[in-house]
Parts: sequence; C-alpha cells; structure tokens
Amino acid sequence: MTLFKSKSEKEKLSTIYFEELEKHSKEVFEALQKKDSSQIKEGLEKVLSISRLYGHGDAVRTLSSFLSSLEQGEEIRERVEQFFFQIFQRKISGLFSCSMKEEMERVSADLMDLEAGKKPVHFEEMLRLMHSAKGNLALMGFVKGKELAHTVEELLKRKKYLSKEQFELLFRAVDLLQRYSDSSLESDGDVEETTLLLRQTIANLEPEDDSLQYSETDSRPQTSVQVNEQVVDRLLELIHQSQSQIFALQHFKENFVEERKKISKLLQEVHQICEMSSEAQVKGRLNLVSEHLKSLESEHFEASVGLMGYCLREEQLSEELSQEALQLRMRPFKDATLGFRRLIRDLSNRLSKEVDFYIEGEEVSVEREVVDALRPPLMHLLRNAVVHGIEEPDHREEKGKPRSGKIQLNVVIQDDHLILTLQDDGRGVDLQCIREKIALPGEQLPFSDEELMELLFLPQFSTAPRVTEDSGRGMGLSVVQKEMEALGGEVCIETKPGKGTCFTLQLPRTLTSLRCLLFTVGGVRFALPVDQVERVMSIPVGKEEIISGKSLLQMRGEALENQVLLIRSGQKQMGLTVEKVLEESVLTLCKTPLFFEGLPGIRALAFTGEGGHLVVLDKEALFAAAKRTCLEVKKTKKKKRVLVVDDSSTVRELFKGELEQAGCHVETASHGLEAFVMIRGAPFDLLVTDAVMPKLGGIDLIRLVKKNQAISSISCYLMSSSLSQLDEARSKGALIDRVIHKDEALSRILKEICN
Amino acid sequence: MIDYTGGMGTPHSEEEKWVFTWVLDEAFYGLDPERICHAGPVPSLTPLPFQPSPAFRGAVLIQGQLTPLFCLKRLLDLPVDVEAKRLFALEWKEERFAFAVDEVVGRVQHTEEELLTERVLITLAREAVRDTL
Repeated sequence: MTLFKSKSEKEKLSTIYFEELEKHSKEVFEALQKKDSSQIKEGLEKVLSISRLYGHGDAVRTLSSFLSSLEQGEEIRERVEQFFFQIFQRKISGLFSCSMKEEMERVSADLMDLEAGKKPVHFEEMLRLMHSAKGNLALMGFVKGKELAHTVEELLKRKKYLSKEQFELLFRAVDLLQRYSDSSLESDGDVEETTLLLRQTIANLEPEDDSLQYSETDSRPQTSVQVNEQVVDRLLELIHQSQSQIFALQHFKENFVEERKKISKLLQEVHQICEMSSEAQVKGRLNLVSEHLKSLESEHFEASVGLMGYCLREEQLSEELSQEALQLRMRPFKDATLGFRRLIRDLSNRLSKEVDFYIEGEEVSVEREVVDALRPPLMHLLRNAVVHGIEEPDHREEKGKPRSGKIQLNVVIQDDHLILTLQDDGRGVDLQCIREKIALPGEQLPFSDEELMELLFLPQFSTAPRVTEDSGRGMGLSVVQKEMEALGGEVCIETKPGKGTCFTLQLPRTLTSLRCLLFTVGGVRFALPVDQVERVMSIPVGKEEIISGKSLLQMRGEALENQVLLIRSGQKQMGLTVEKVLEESVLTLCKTPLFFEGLPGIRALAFTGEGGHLVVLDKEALFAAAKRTCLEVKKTKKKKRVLVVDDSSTVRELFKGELEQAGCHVETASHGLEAFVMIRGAPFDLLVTDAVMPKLGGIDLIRLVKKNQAISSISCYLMSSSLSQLDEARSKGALIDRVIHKDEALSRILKEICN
Repeated sequence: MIDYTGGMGTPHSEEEKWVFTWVLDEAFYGLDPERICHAGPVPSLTPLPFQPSPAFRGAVLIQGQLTPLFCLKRLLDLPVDVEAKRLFALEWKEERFAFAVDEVVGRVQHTEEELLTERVLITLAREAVRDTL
C-alpha cells in the first residue's frame, strides 16, 4: 500500500470542509448554468456559512463579495468558477506532489530495466504513468510540463528500441517532470528545450518504428492504493476514543452489577417484612412491591448480560480496527528502493565503472515512516559503495575479479526488527590509510581495527584523497549514524581489504508500536522496550549491592521493593530497582507533542488499554542519571584524576600546578592522540582539553572518548580562546560537559573543576 | 457580570470586553478568551520521569491531545497549600499548554482582575523546564 502526505491539507484545510464544499459547489454550478439568481444566492450562502464555520476567512470575504455583486446584478459566473478551481487546486496539490514523484520514480525504474534489456518490458505501465502524469500536470496548470509529458509518451509509443542518447534524453525529461512534484523547477527553459529535442527525435524516426507491438509487453498488476495520512490518523484517533468509551462502559457495567446486588438485598428484606407483618392489607401491598422488584431484577440481569456481551464485542472490534489501521501504515520495502538503480547507473556511467546491483527482500512490509527515513542513508551508502568501494573494471581484472562489481542489498525481518545489509565486493576500507591519517610518522597506534573503523563515523573524517562532486567531505557516515540513531536503530561496518565492505543497519520495523515491559515506580507505571531488558531479578530488600559494581537507580525517590531490571547499553549494564514488574505488552505509541520531545528520560508516550497514557523510558537517560549518581558517590571517596591536554606547555603546567594544589591527581598530554592512548590505559575522572591541537583536536578527542563505552563516563571540558571554535563545538553535539573560554578567570575554572 | 452560559456568550456591544477569568489564591486573573481551548477539572495525570520542574505536574489528555500541565501557583511563586483541581488550556502556535488553577470562573465582563497574556504564561512554563532541556 502507498500512503501520501499532504502538507497543505494538514496545515490549513479540513477534509470535512472540502466534502461539504464539494457538495454545495455542485448546487452552485447547476444554478449558474440555469442562471437562477435565487438558487445561486442560496448555494453561495451555504458555502459562506460553511467557510465561516471552519474559519476560512479568505473564503468568507470572497463569497461575501460575490453575494453583494449578485445583488447588484453583476455577472459573477467566471469569478465563482475561478474561486472553486483555486480552492480545489489547493486541496489536490498534496496529492499531485506525491503521485507525481512516485510515478516518475517508477517510470525511471522501468526505463532502467528497458535500457538494461531486462524482460518483461513494462511499456504499458510506462505509458499509463506518463499519461496519468500528463493529466495531473494539466490539472495543476503546468502547461509546459504537460507538453513534455506528452512528447515522452509519444516517443515511448512510437519507438521500441532506443539509442543511448535517446535514453539520456528520456531520463532528463523524467527528472524534469519529477521536479514539478517538489516545486524545485525555477523556470520552464529546460522543459521547453527538452520538449523540443524530443519532438525533433520523434520527427526523425524511421517509419517502421511506428509498429510497436504491445503484445510483447507485460502488464504489471496494480497493487498500490493511496490513502490520505489524515484519514489514517483520524482512524487511529477514533479507535483510541472508542477504547476510552469501552473503559467507561466497563465502569458502568460494574455499577450495574452493584445495583443488582442492592436490589436482591432489598427483596430479601421485603420477604422478611411479609413474614413478620400480621396486617393483611400491608402484606398485600408488600407482595405487590415484591413482585415488581422481582421483575425489575430480572430485567436488570438481562440488561447487564447484554451489556457485558456488548463490551466484549466492542473490545474485539476495536482491537481488529487498531490492527487494520496499523497495517495501512505499512508499505513494501520496495518503495524505499525507488531510484536506487538509477543512482547506481548514473554514478557508474559517470565514473566509468561497471556495477551489478541486486536487491533481496523488497516485498518485506515496513512502516511508512521507516521507509521514508531509510531512503537518504541508503542512498548515501550506495553512493559510497560505487564511488569508494567498487574499483575500475581494469583494476578489478588485474586483481582477478570480474569486471563488473557487485552491490547486494538484503532486507529481512528478525524479531520485529528490520535488518538491512549492504555488501559490495570492492576494495574494502583501507585501514592503513586511517592509521596514517591520525598517527605521527613512525608512531604505532594501539587501536584495534574496530576502533579505527569507528573513526569513519566522525564528522569531517574522510579517507578520500580529495573532495569530489559525489563524496569526500567526510560528513556522510556521521549523518547516516545520526539518522539511524534517530530511528532507534544502529549501524555497523565490517570490511575485508580487497574483498569488500558490508554495512549492517538494524532498526525497529515499526515506529508506532513497541513491545514493552511495564512496571511501577513510586506508584506510577512506566515501560521499557523488552529488547533493552536483559532479565528481571529478585533481590532481597537492602541487599542491592549484590550486583557489585553496577549502579542502582531510584527513579522517583520512593520506597523500593525487591525487583531489579537488568538493562544493557552496549557494554554498559545497570540494575534498575522497581516496585513491581507488571506485564509484557505491545504498546501503541502516540504522536509525542513537541513540548515533550526535549524532556529527559522520555523515549515515547504510549496509549494504555484503559484509555490513559504512560511513558516509555529512554535507556540512555537512565544510564546518564546513574552515572551522575555514581560520580557523586565517588567524589567524596577519592582524589579526582584529571588529564590536561594542550599543545601549549605553559597552559599544561599552569593547570597541573593549580589542580595539584587543590588536591587532584593531574597528568598531561600535548595532543589529542596521546591523550586518547593515556585515557585507554588508565581511567580519569575529568578530561580538560584544548580545542585546536595537532593530530587530533579536542572536539574530536571528546567525540572519540564519548563513543568508546569503556571510557565514556569521563567528564569532558573543552577549552578555547576563540568564540567561533566554541560555537563549532556546541553545534557538533551535547557530549561536551562544559565549554571553557580561556578568558574566564582561572580561579573560577579551577574552583568548578575541584567541586 | 458573569456569563453563566459556560463561555458561549457574546459581548452585548462592541464596547464590552470579555475576559476569561480564574482564581488563584483568592485573587482573580484574566486572559483573552479567544486563546482558551478548554476549561474543566484536572483529569488523570501521566507523571513524567525526572520531574523536570516542581511546577510541572505531568501530561493530561485534553480533547484527545496530550498536553503538559503546569501548576500556575508555583509558576507565579504563590504559596501552594492545596493542589489546584481545575485547569484551563490554551493554544500557542500549534502547541497546547494547560494550567492548574483553584477555580475557573469563565468569561466575565472586564472588571478589576489582573490581565495576563498567553505569552507570559507560556514563557513561564518554558522557563520552568528550561534547565532540563
């Protein structure tokens, strides 16, 4: 299934408003045709009141002016038609943008297959898509675009075998048409020129080219349906409300049962009175009351049975609705790969390389947001594979490899996670080149291959000898890593020199639901994703130190019971004491309002079955809180170990002397690389480093330290005398614990370090 | 003059100014009623971890939307003897903020109450959690 996102609709327009408007616009058009002034007036007044109701001020003003013109006997037909045309154009602009982009991506993919000589050839689909694009462009008023689409359609209709130049021309035309989808086309000049070239090509066609046989083509079944995102969101919202209603009914049902018990008790009392009383008249009346109560009880019982059945059915129904609605958000992974073949074709042509590209697992269904978010990082990795990985054909032959390089993208689902592997059989990552890039001449670095590979994810770190149009800036892999982390996933890299590189991307299959372990702390329910909880342990109260060396966290300072969740982040492990572990459950995540996104400890907010919400905790925030707690404890026990790193010996000695006087143990290093080696050899509590140094600067040193889980708990202070460097450090991330301007009073800096 | 229609009344003339009014520590405060999207009792709260601020009480569901709830007495540094049980919510650039107050009076004609602006309230709310962001 294919979903689309209509921003203009989302921001300004309401679906209901358009439905109402569409209904009444027909009445107005009919009245305009009949030239019936009273009907025109009536129709416009209806549209006016709807526009007023939905707060569309511009429409209200325009419609009011139509009405006053109508009263004065002016001709308004053209203006009214123009008004409705503009309104509906706004409504469909989102749809146009989405469908145009997708259609052109599909045409591009089909052209690629055609160029590669693959069978079956999807001529009919290409023609259908171009025809549809032509209609959409005309509807949106893009006349030049419509003409271009028409000429592409004509060429495809009449020409069965295309030359390389004709393919290039068609790809250029498709690219231009795709740019109508995101309004990135600045002028129609290129469009006109390409249309002209296509017309000339068609005019020069040989007569036999007119004999295209469609019987040779294959008709691909249409399997996608477009669904408005707003509709899906609304559906989910309704389901949530319906679940809340069920909860309310449940309460009502309990009251019902309670009342029935009271009536039964009352009946018993009436029976007792009947037995005790001697007055026949009273007895008769009481008997009557008793009969009524009996009948009431019976009715009540039937109603409560019916209500219970209703509750059960509603519960099942809402569960099914919820599952169906979630399915609407799923798309085949294939949608993420549109354009990949084209990218590889263009790049390999430009670089004179030969590349075979294979994808496995395109049918795997993945949530729409994941599909959309995966495209940029995958595009980047593919570009890297072609530019850096795959060698030139002659070089490959010299090494005994086939002339064509191979890039393989595999997609599988494992335990609710999407695992993507992108493997190439190129030259692999040159680890020696990384070593040379960071080491002094003749220096032996104690880094393992894995640690050296981690450097590739540092911003501005590149092994490429020069910056080109396609790569070499060293920004790409750090961006890929950030994008994966934002999706709750991770990326890792393996390489074999001369044999190729493999990137593995692991991320949740869906972003709208999460299997979680629910527990209470301080009487409040929280959740943690189950894949982050290693196990649940029982520890006797007061014996928490049993988990030696691991920090325990009291989240809300409430009394603790004896259940501990063992959670892990890479090589770090932590026990989290909780009151009570409740259950494991698949939680539906709700859209987190902007305000909550920056608050600490919150990974997501989720709906609970009873119509309420709970917080899914952020594992990293828990580790950070635990670290703060541990540091506070350590502070009182031992001398603080400080590493001062600066290429200026004056600064090093000044800090060393002052800090030692203040009771710290101080060591020094003259550049970032030396410091990194020292930190790995002996743990420090605090790193105070200059920003600009030879070999490895302070900002990158801190990044390296924070990335290495064994030493990431060190507090890192960055010193600089330049405001621009401090700004750069700030902009690079929040891993720096403190940024010190060298102009700050030394006494103040030292006091802060010692405290 | 109190509008007992629950906020649906309209001024009788152009000159009359209506104010959404509430009570905090026995004093009246007011705001432009156009900004208010909801008023009522405080519903069940979703507490958040690491309590970002004493003035921040948690998340509440208002008209199907999760909304941060702040204790207005704490934001304004007023004494808090009892937790406020009523709230009003206002919209600000596609975001919603709710504030707990002692009593919601509703729309009244402008008299002597202290008028606040939504900008002040939202700045106070943001300032309260700023250090944790």
